[in-house]
This record gives sequence, structure tokens and C-alpha cells, in this order.
Amino acid sequence: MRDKLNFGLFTLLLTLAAILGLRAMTMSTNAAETRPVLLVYDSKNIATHADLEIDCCQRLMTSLGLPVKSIKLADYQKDELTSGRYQGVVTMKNWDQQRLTNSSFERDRKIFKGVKLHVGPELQSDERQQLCCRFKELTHQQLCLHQERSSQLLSASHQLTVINKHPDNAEKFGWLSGQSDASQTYAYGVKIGRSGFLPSLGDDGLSIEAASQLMGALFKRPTKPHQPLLTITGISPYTNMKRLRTLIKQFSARGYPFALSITSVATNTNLEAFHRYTSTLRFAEQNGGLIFLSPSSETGTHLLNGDELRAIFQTELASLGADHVFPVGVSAPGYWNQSKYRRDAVLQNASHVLLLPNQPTTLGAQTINSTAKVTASQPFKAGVIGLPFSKFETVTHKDKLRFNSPTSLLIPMPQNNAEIGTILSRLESAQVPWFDPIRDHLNTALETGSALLGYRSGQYWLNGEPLSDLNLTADQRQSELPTQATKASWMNRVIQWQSTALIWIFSAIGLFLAGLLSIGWRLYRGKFIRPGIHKDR
Amino acid sequence: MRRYLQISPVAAVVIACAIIVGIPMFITPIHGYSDNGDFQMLLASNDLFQLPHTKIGYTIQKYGLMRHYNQLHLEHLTTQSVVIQIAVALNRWFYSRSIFDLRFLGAIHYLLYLGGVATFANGLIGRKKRRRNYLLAIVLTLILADSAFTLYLNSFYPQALTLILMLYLAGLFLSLMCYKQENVWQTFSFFAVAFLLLMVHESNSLLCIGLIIAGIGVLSRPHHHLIHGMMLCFTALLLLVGWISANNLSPEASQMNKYQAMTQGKLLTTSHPESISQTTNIDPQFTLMRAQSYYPNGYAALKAEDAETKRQFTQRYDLPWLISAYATDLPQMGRLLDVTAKNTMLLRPKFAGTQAAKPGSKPQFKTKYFTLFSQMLATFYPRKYAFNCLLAAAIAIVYGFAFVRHLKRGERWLASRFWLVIGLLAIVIASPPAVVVLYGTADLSIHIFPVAFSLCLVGMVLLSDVVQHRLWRNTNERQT
Repeated sequence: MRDKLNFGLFTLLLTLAAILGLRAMTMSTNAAETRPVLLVYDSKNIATHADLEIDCCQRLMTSLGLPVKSIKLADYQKDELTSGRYQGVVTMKNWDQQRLTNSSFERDRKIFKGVKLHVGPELQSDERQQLCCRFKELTHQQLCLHQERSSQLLSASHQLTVINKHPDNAEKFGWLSGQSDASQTYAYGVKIGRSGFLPSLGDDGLSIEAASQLMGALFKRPTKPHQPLLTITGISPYTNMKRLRTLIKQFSARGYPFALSITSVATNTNLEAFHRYTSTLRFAEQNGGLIFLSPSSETGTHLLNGDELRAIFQTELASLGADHVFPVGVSAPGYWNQSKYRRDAVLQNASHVLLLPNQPTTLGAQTINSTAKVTASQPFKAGVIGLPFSKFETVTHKDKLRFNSPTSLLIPMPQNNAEIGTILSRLESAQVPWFDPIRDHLNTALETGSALLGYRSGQYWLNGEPLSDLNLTADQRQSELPTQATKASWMNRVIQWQSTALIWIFSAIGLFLAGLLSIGWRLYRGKFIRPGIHKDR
Repeated sequence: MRRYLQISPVAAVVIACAIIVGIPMFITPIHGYSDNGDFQMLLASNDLFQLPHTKIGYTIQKYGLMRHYNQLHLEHLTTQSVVIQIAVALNRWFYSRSIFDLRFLGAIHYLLYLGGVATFANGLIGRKKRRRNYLLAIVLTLILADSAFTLYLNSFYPQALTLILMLYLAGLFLSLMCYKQENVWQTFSFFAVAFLLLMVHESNSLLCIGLIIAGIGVLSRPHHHLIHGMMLCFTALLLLVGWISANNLSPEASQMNKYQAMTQGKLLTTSHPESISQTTNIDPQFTLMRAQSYYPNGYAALKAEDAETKRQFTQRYDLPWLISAYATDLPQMGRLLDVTAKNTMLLRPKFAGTQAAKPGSKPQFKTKYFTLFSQMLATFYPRKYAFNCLLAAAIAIVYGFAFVRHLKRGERWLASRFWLVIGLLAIVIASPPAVVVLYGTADLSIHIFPVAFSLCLVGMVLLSDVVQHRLWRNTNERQT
């Protein structure tokens, strides 16, 4: 319904463009870019965690500013692709043993005029034709991926379909070298005209980066090298605060700019523990740390709807804001961008959205991810893709690392003090040129129910006013102290007091009466019951 | 005896209850408490499942019946699953192999309940057709047929069997007291019912103390051979069954109880929740889990079943620590006991509707049909634990004097009632603190139900004794 409306709008724009000439022509090209990319995958194949590759692909395109519509091959309906609603199509093959096909999709893809990208093995004849390449299967080889001066050994050594021979006009993104014969190289990502090929999205940093560059070139995204943002993930109010403080101190002592991806709570915010948490976060802010607020994890028993989600998220933002913790953006696992109500309730509030990897799905576990056949994701003003730092550790020449899209490298919160040392030495040896929010003029905005939070090159803004000091003033702190001993009105106190007093009075009277009863009973017995004349039955 | 009173008071109670309870239970749209999220595990272990597209907040009449191998089949055998299995068997026999109609379970509960009402009325009122006995019959009907109790019969809540078995227990005790000779079968069935009652739900193991006291009453009757040996045996057996029942639950359920004992118990109603980290190794940050339930609604910063929570939180305290922590902060215990007392007389489970879906009806509909007694209790009964203690002390004193007096007169059959009343009062007094320590204030409607029903039973016994002049005045009547 909505798509139809969009399509109608789009045709209207086109007509306008035809009438208004040159100025409107630019409008129409802008409008063309807002069309989504169709991502068609054969299977989620959770045995090989291909669902995570799909998630990675979706997040990658979001960080490139592309809206994506994802659909399973079997659910593809005839004429979907040829309707002119899509600027491109990405075919992803995750389960080559199964050889899943959909003839109407293949036919539509053949006619389709937009950008085409194939990821994985199992190319169909139309794709082979368009790419004009010769392909070769590499099995069980240790491969090394090179890109400019950097290189990385690929972790997966299963079967890989690569291009053996390609035409001269092909644009190459990275190349592979085998372990046996170093002189034998293969192109990794290849772009020929409006078609592209990628052997796999891969699980390694450099292969994802190559995929990002290929996609950027295919879909004509404005390219600008980005430096990665260092983010610590998995910080919750239950994290050990001493350890977190140590980590922040170490980072700031070594001059690493960093960000924290945190979760918060919506209840119990009057407790001392919550204020300890916010004071640690303020400490991070004062040491140059950015804060991304992540929605808490959803439990499978009863999922909240959009309104409830929004309410809880706004409460969390408000309670953090009251303690002068101002998140610069929102972070969430990739699936949050795949369902409209989650995106509208949480992600759309922020200009900067950090998309974290999904948790791997396991068989039999209750899924909270969207089960809809077609899922659509939207780009943000700045969508940042989060990739584990560990995926880049084996890359050589990390100091030359530049990313094609806004990227954040993630390090999970250390579980003990020894791990802090390990992390620091890993960072030391990596020598990655980190993104610095002050130097690189980061400018963010986050809307909450009542306030507009902003961050511009190291300065926090609240409702358009710069904040001079993040520390809480004395009376602000006073108002936050747990007010357990609420001043009850004297009436209430009297009522409370009297109910306990009544119980005491009653028990005293009861005891007194019991005493009287026993005395009376003895008197009665002494007077009226003579021993021996006991009435026996 | 008047001629126009042809029907005995006991029969009158049973017939009245049968009509009042039967109509809403079996005529569509059926009535019964709806699922508040507790049914799932019970359904799964009894080969049942919720059909897709069932609505929350309505009584559900039809459940799916598994036809093939069920991995969870009768994982933890309780009295409740036995009864459900009988209902399932009847359903398979008479109705369908793939759909389960709740009314089969309702019918079995219903018949058992009527039996219980008959036994209890018989023990309490006796067979004499005196006018005051009819007055008692009316009061009994008002209490026992109250919808707040009987809506449990058409549900999977354990309260249904607790209610039924407590009726049998009190009834058998009272009728046992009426016989001059010992009645082996009734004695035996009294203890059988006691065992079944303990096995209904893990929290029913807390009834042990009351049952032991009542058991002493049964065994200390005259003419009973081998009194001491039997007493010892049965006490030991009751304790054993109570222990089995307390441990007859899945590891996940015991994890849940442990977690909620802390978050919905020790961390509540205190201005210094962080004091827990003084005596344990728990990070004070975990006080933020205050009031959280094990299965939260949708959203949690850290899930309760997460390995991290277990490692940092649940594994760092145990029952002895909880007991000592409450012992050092008695005022908090008092506040929590008042929370339980506040909920004692709210007999309905929270978040449960009472009616099957019909066109135009709203979810969570609460019927007002025959709820006079429960409404009055919920409105007027004082909500303080101390009041319960005071009441129990007063009743105990009254029965204590009667006990001594009857013993001196040799009226042992009247004296023995003392044991039943003391047993029931022991439940009223002893089980709330145990509930607070073991389960916190979570699922109070299940855990506190025996307390509320014990109070009602004590009230009825007291009323009958007052009406029949058994406490102070000299009565020569004896029912046989």
C-alpha cells in the first residue's frame, strides 16, 4: 500500500521533472537514489551462521546510506524487480549444496536494468553472461586477501568461487593470493559496468571492507575515507563500575578517543546504584567518551509493541538526562532496523545510529527477530556499522586502514582486570588511526520527548544551549538522593501510627482478658464444682 | 424436627453448590480464571498446548492435544498432573484425540469439589435437621460456592486442587471425630488426602506443619492402637512427602524462585537495598534488579536467565543467607509480611479474566456472579499480618480453654477439634514468613491461597461451634 503510494509519488515527481526541465532533473536523480536495493538470499542457513552475513550485508548498505528490502528467494513474487521500484538487486547465495532456484526471479533479473551484484557461489547463466568472466572453484585453500598495502589471511577455508579471468574494463576491489603459488592471484570484488561479483561477504575485516568499496562504487555512493570509532560494547548498569572507571582512565591517559555502547534501566532510577552508574558515565563524558544508548535486550516471552517500546526508551533517556548523561546516538543490533515499529520507536530519534551485529541464531531458540517475509531497512543521517575489532587484528598495516563508510570497531567490556591490560596492549600494537569526535567535528542530534540533545565537536548542547559544566550542582544532587523517607502528611502518620497502636492495645487487652478468664475459671471451679461429682459420661 | 424440612442440611449445601457452581462452569461462554502466564509449563508436561491465535485475558475452552512423542511428558509428577492426565484420558475417550476441552478438567474438579463440600458439610453440620443447622448450611453455601474460589475449578491453577483437598481434609477430620470407634478407612484416607495436598504444588509443602498438628489430633483419639508408633511414622512420612514436594520442580523453576526471593523479597521495602553486598559477594549494582521478575515483560537490561546474572548474582547467595539477612532486619520482614497480608484476601489471581471470549466482550472481564463473600473479605478484612496473629491467638485461646474443659469432662471427640483449628492457624501464622523467604512476594496468589482458605475454614468451624454451643455451654448432643 505504502509502496504503491511511494511509486505514485515517484511517477508524479518524474512528470514534474519532465515539465520543469533542468532544475527538476536533479530532483529526479535525487529521487532515483532513494529507491531501495532488493536483497534476495536463498537461505539463512543458520548452520553456517549465514544469517549473520545477511545482517552484515544489510548493515553495510545502511551505513552506505542505501535503503534495503530483504526477501527470501522462495518468497520472491513475479514482476517485483521489474516494476521499477528498485535501484539495484543483490543476490546472496548462502547454501550452495541446496541449489535453491526461483525461475521468475531469474527471468526478472535478466530483464532488470539496474545495478546487479552477486555474492557467493552458484552464478546463474544470465549473471555469467553479463559479467563475461571465467570462474574457478577454490577448495580448501588458505587464501590471503590484499587491498592496497594491507593484507589479511582469510579465516574460512571452505569452497570459494573466484574469477579466473575477467575483461580489461573490470574494476577490481582487492585480490586474493593462494598459499601454494604466491604468483597466482585472483581478483576479489569485481565491477563490470553495472554488474558486480563478490566471492563471499566473508567474516574478516578486509573482506567486509572490500565488499563495502565494491558496493559504494556500484551504487555510486559519495566516497570519503572514514576513520573507525573505537566502541566498548556490553556496558550495562550491572557492569563492575570500578573496572569501567579504570578502563576509561587508561583510554584517556593514552589519548584514545572512544565511545561506549550502554544499556540502561527504566525503573529503580532512584537507587544509589543508578547514580553510581550515571556518575561513571559522566566521568566517561568528561574524558572525551561518547555515549550510545542501546535499547535493552528483548525477552522472548512477551514482546513490547511500538508505543511501549518508545515509552520505555524515552524514560531511560530522561532518567539519564536528569543525571547529565547525554547520549550522542543510539546503538542497536541490526534487526532493530529491519522492523518498522522498532525503528520508529527507538532508532529514528537519533541522527547517529550505531548498528551492532546480531546475535547468532541457534536452532530451537525462540526468535525475536522479525519473522516477516519481506523486511525493509532505512538509512539514517549517519548509520555507523559496528564490526568486532578482533576481525581486523590480523590485518597488516592497520595504520593505513580507511573505511568506505562510517565504521566503528567494537571491543566487548572486559570481564576482569587482566583483560583490561590485554585490550590495551592489543590497541597499542594495532596502531589504528581512531576517529576523534573533536578533531573530526562530529555533529549529532538526539530527540527525546521533551528535549533536544546535541553534540558538536566536544561540546554538549541541550535544547540549543551549550552546556558549560557536566557536573551536577549541589542542589541537583540533593534532589536525586533517594527520598525513601518521604515526608508523609501528619494525617497519614497518625493513621499509620494508630493501626500499629491499635494492634498493641488489642493484644494487651486480649492478654488481660485471658488472664481474667483464667482467674474467673478458677473461681468458678472453686465455688461450683466440687471434686468427686464430676459428670462422667 | 419439622415436617416441611424434608431435605437434610448437608444435602441442601451440596445441591445449592452444585447448581450455583455448575451453571457458569459448563454453560457457554464458560467461566474460569484465564492464563496469566503460568500455564505454559504445566500444559507442556501434560501433552497440551495453546492453540494459535488464542486471545489473552479470556478463558480458553479448547486446547491442542499432542498426538506424538512429548519430550516433557510428566516431567514432574504432581497431584495436579495426575488429575489433568485423567481429564486428558477421558477427553481422548469421549471427545477428541487432537483437541482438549477444558470442561473435562472442570468436570473432574467439579465432582471432586462437590464430594469435598459434602464431606466438609457432613463433618461440620451433622445430619440433624435442626433449624440452626440450616442457618449454617446457608453460610457454608455462601462461602464455599463463592466465585472467587470456584472459578479456579475451570482452570489449570493449582489452587483448584488445594481448595478441594483442604475441604476433604477438614471434612474427614471432623467426621472422624464423630465416631466412637476408630475408623481405619477414614484415618487412612485422611492421611492419603494430606499427602496428595502436599504434592499439589511445591509451595504446598509449607502446609506440612499444619497437617502434622491435625494428624496428631487424628491419631490421639481414644481407642487408637499403637498411638505413639503411628504418630511417629506419620509425622516422619508427612515431613518426607513435604520435602519431596518442595524439591519436585524443574531446575529452571527453582532458579526462578531463588531469583525472585531476592528481587521481589529481600530488595523490596527497604531504604538500604545495598546492605546485601555487605554480607555477600554481590556487586551493589545488582540492587537495580529490585522488583524485577524472572520472566520480565519484554525488556531487560540484563536477563535473569543470563549466565552473567547467574554468575554474578544468583550463585552468590543461598537460603541460609536469606534467612540470616531477614533475621538481622526484622522490620523489613514485618513490612513484607504486611504486603502478603494485604494480598491474602484478594483471592483472585492478578491479570486473569474470568470469561471465555464472546462477541463484544472485553478481555480481563471479572465476573461479579456470586461474589458477596469474597468481596466483603477483600473490602473489610484487615490487611495486617499482626492482625492475623492476634486473631489466631484469640481463637487458639478460646479453643485451648474448650480443649482443657472437654478433656476434663472426658469429651475427647469435642476436644479433638482443637487440633484441627490449631493446625489451620499454624498455616495462617507460619506460612507467610516461609513464603517471603522462599519466594518473595512473587506469585502471591498461589503461595498465599492456603492461608486465606485456612482462615475461611477456621471461621466456619468456629461459627458452627458457636451456633451449636460446643465451646462454652454443655452440650450432650453427639452426631453419629
